Amino acid sequence: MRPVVHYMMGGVSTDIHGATPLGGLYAAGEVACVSINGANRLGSNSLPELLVFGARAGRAAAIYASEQPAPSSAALAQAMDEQRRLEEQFLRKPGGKERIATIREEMQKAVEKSAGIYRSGNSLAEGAQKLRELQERYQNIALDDRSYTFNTELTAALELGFMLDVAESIVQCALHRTESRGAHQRTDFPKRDDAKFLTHSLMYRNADGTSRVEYSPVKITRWPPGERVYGQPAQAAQAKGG
Amino acid sequence: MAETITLEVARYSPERDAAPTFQTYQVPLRKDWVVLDALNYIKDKVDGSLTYRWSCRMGICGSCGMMVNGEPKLTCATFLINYAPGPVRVEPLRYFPVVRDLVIEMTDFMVKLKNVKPWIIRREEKTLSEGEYLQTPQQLDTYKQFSMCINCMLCYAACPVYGLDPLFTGPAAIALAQRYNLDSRDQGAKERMEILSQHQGIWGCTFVGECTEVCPKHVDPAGAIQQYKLNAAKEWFKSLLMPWGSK
Amino acid sequence: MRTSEVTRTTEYTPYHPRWYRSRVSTYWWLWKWPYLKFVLRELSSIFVAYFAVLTLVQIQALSEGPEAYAEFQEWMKNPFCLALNAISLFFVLFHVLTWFNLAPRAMVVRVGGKRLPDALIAGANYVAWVVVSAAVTWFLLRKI
Repeated sequence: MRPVVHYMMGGVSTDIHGATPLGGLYAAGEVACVSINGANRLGSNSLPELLVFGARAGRAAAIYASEQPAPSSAALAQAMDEQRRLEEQFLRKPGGKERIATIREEMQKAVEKSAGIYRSGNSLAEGAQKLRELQERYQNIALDDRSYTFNTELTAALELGFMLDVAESIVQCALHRTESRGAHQRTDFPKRDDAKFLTHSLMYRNADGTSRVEYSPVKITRWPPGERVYGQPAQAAQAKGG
Repeated sequence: MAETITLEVARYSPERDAAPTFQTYQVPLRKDWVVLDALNYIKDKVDGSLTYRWSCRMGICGSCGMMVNGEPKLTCATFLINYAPGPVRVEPLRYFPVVRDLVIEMTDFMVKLKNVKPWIIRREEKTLSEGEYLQTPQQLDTYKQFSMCINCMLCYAACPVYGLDPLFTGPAAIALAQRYNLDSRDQGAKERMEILSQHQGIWGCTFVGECTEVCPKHVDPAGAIQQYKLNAAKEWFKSLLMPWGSK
Repeated sequence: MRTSEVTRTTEYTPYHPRWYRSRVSTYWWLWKWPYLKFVLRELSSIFVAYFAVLTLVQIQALSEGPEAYAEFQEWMKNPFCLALNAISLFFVLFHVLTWFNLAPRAMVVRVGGKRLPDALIAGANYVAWVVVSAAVTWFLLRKI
């Protein structure tokens, strides 16, 4: 028996219609963060979340698409640029010595070690350092598969790049969040800090390649945050009517 | 137990080849490794250009269907030690066009699946205020077996009728149609009957029965098709002898 | 959906220059034992038809009088006919066994919400076969 991944509580920031800050991009389900799950997802909520917000996002995307004019030649030029980038960086690139699987496995080990449920400033800093190294090595990837037909190695390479971005987000936001909340438990900051950190962490990529963390306040409507207790303290709290 | 086992894998790149060839690889032989583990080992460490479909690696998504030593299998559920000392021959799913290496073109199946209308058809939908559609455990029992289909298409790779006549609707699609026909909440049996009681529908089936043998989820599509045939014959007699009755 | 609509949507998967399609061999049924068994099972219907025709010929010979029937019996005794009938008997039995054993897959009988076991349905067919055969035998062999 071994533990497995529970759920991605964060994700692409969306509103309740699935619209992301990038116009025309919609997201729903585990990849999106509305956020209805907060610091930890309740059991069984992921499937209804997907059904409800999937439908909403689909409908909103359809309405958005129906209101758009035909794509301009500028859009086509952008697509051609992207194809050229993929060819230069992966399909036609000479040399390169890293294998996708090696970098991916090292990333998995680094994030599991530094950003597990229980994490500390030290472990996170180590993880951040390792990820920086892996992102540099990622630039040196060599593909075995240069085909244009159903190239799954290319998709694996692209996904690895995005996985490294996500790993960086996890580690950086955890480093900046000096408190414990839900699935994020800092051994060096074991208490919850509602004064400073009752916020969503937003991760951005700067133009120069560095990243920054910003915050947006949590909207409390019906359920104010309380103490999460089990066993005897829970019964006592219930008796008190809290 | 030997240290390694040989895999002979079909390779095909349309840009380069006119027809598939075989490439041999040596992979570690671990007691708990399945064929999919061997393929992943090859792709990660030996030859990244090996292309195949897979997803859940636990026999529920139906993506990893391939021919292993001539039999249609889910590679995530086929253990390497059962084939020791090898070699293990891995080929793309039979009777489907090959796009690349072990990847097949499955649009034909998707079209046929949609044609049989595998969803609950009702003359009138219940409003939300009327509540859910209720169903007893006995009613669930009548169709539960056919609902276990994971659309892995191993049955199509085992069906000689589908191999010889690509117009044949095929085991999985008909089994799923029967699943909805038997569902107490469904009222679309007549609609599906018109689609399926064609030559390329249920009457194309000659009850070879291999589809049931290879199904990893014990759906028994052959049984579903024969039951449908019995039903269709009954309905035909009814429409002949009592043309005034309608469903 | 009309037939013509069905034919249109269930089109032969269009030819794509980059897909590879392998031809199914004419001898596909030799590649696997279950396939061979299936083809033999289907061919057994020819022998069933032969027995039916033989019975008709026998009845016709009977109707034409004792001489014609004696001729028929002589014909039946020649070695070619004996061999043919022996093979046919084997195939007809094979036909019956496979048919009865597969019948429960098509006929699902539910009693009180539970499905009757396959052995019961197949068994019922066998019992009916024995009973009918016994009845016919008694009818033919009784003293008039």
